[in-house]
Order: sequence, then structure tokens, then C-alpha cells
Amino acid sequence: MNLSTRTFRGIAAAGAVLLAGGTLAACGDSDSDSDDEGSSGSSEVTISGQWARSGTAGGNTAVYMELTGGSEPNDLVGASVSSDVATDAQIHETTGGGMAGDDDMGDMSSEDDMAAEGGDDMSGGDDMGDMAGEGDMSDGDDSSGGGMMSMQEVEAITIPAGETVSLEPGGFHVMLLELTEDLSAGDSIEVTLTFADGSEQTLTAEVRDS
Amino acid sequence: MQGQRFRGAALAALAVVLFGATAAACGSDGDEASTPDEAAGGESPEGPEADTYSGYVVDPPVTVDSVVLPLADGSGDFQMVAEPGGLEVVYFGYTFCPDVCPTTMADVRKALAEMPADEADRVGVAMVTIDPARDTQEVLDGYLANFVDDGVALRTDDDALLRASTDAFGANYEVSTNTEGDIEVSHTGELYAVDDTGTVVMAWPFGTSYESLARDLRSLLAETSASPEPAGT
Repeated sequence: MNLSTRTFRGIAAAGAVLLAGGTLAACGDSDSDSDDEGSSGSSEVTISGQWARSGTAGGNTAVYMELTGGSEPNDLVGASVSSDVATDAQIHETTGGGMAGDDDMGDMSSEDDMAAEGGDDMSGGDDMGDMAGEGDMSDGDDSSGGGMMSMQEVEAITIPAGETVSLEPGGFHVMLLELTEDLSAGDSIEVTLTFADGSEQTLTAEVRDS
Repeated sequence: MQGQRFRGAALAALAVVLFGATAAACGSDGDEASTPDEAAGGESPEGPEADTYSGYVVDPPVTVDSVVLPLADGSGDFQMVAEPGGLEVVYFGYTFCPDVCPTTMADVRKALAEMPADEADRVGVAMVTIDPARDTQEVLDGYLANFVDDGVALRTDDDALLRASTDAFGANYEVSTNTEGDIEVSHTGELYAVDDTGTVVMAWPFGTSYESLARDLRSLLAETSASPEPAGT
């Protein structure tokens, strides 16, 4: 089940990359192409678009980001934060449910270039959400709406070579448990990610209300 | 599995439209990638448009005015009926949820902020905890206040009552403890809109954008005020 989800997400991510490529070509803008990294067998993962949701002391929240694989695959296997931030950090996945499409647009816009250039198109593209809503309707009309959603800790998130995996609302996320202090919009926190190749990276995530 | 299959279909469809949008952004005539059906949802430049709801209408209609739940602060009960001429947005969630619930509630907040104030004022927000063991009154009230002013926090320890309430909406939940002692919660992620007759007039799946939510709410409010005498409570 997890495997099939992951596999599918990989395909979706690949689609996003292709789309981004198409955008660049079409618009003649070719700067900051993140696909060129790790030219000689690097498993180094590139982190982008990271943000944390605001939350209150004692509560939980989540950190989201895009992880792009190097020329070799890697796995995200752990996350940690200072005890000044939260008691614990875990890698989680939300599964199930009848998702509308809007958040997957975020997925599609995962490439930095896309996010910068196509951002307005994305947010203006409510028709996409409408479409997905209709899809959900036909999907879920035998019962009463979408299925149950649940959240599990996962041991690893596979990041295929050269592909982008999104940690996004309704999917993978780094869960912060029992926040030490309130996290408010504009704050920033550091999160250290551990990968299967033994490497670690510390990212700074801005706190947002959304 | 059903949900995952759906994601596949939705993403494939999104990819098609996304491509169209991208083409448009680059200055070519962007219509070539859209079939008429696909384009139909995107032709409302502004304001509510009755035929382009993002949520889905529960059919046959579901009435939930029999659902009465205690206010989390113990100050009384709340009946699932909106104020006259208004709507009540109802969510079944839990505060330990770091992902789906706050995403949804933040979207509710943003949707209301997007709407004209006089319309947003006609929309109430109620959150029912499906995890009352951990969601104490203080936790739940504080959580809801992070997202909306004047939100209604509802909580009951009576599992039969909670179950009857979610059943009435067509919602579902499950709270269990795994072998490691962790509490695991599953729940449906829909947001519901209840009108002033206690009818569920719309449901939105998780992931509906706040813009879509705001537009739907405005359309529903317009219909509500256009309809004849509310049936009252």
C-alpha cells in the first residue's frame, strides 16, 4: 500500500518535472535548473520550498518541503529538531481520503522555477480544483464522501534519482510533536534530516499560518 | 485503495490542465489542451456561479438538525442548524492532527477572510472533536481560536452520541491504540455546510482550495437568501 503510493507519487513527481521542463522551454527561461546537480554519482538530496505550519505550545504541527534526488536514489530516514522547538520529530504520511486536487497543484508546482513563474496561474486555476471535485464526487458517491484518512509514521521516504518528492498537506510530512513554544507566522525553525546514505542536512523552515 | 486510485485520476487530469495553463502563461493561445468539459469549470472570472461548485451536493439530501452536541466549555448544547439565512461549516477532526485538520481549518479561515465581511458573518464554524479523550475543552477551544473567531467547539465523551452525529453527516472516524501504545486516529476529511433548515447543502473533500471554498460559500449564501421563508428550527 505504501509502496504503491510512493511509486505513484514518484510518477507524479516525474510528471511535474517534465511539465516544468516544458515551461522553461516554452518561456525561454533557463536559469536555476535544479536537475543538473550531482553529476557524478551523488546521492545528495536537494531541499526546497520548506515551511512549517504555525502551532501552539503543547500541540503538534508539520513541516513540508520538496526533496529532489541526486543522480543516485536516497531515502529520508529521520528528522530531528532541537528540544527548544518540539519534543520529537517523526516522518509521517497521511493516506486515504477523497482528496480534491488543489493541493496536488502544489505538488505540480514543486519545481522552483514553476513556483516562481507559474504561481499566479496556479492560484488562479480554480477550475482545476473544480475538476478534481467533480472527480471526487463520482468517486465517492456510493458512500458519503471520501474515505477515511489516517496518518502513520513511516520508516523512510524514498527519493528516486533526479525526481522530486513532495512533503505536502495530505501526504508526507515531518511531524513535530508537542511543541515547546508557540510557533507563529514569521518564526523560523531548524530541522535536521537524516538520509539513508548517512548524510544529514539541516534546513531552516519559515513558519506560516496556512 | 479507492482514495489512491482517485488521486491517480485527479493528478492525471490536473497534469493536462496544468499544461494548458502553462501554455497560456507563455503567451500562446492556451485553449488547445482543454476539452470543453475541462474548461467549463474555469470560466467564472469572478463572483459565485451556481453551476461551478467545487464541493459536492449530498444526494439524497441529509438532514442533521437532530444532531445536538455539547459545547466543549459545558455552557450548553449546539444544534446543527445554521442561523437564519446563514450557513454552518462543520468539521469533524482532532487537534493532535498535524496535517489534515490544520490544513482544512486554515483553509476555512482563509476562505472567510476572502469573502466580503457581511457574507462571512453569516457563516458559522463548528468543529467536533473525534478524539475527546485527548481533546479537552481547553485544548479544543484554544485550537479552534487559532483559526476562527467565534468558532463553536463541540465535544462529547458519549461515543454513541458522537457516532450518531458523524453517521448523520455521513462522516466517519476511528480511534485506536496500536501495539506500541500510540493512539491512531482515522477520519473522513470532509467539510460540511449546513443551512438554516439543518440540511447538509454541500460537502468539500480535503484539499479543496480556500478560493474554491469561498466561492462555493458565497454561492450557497446567495441561494439561501434567494430562497423563500426558511423552515425555521
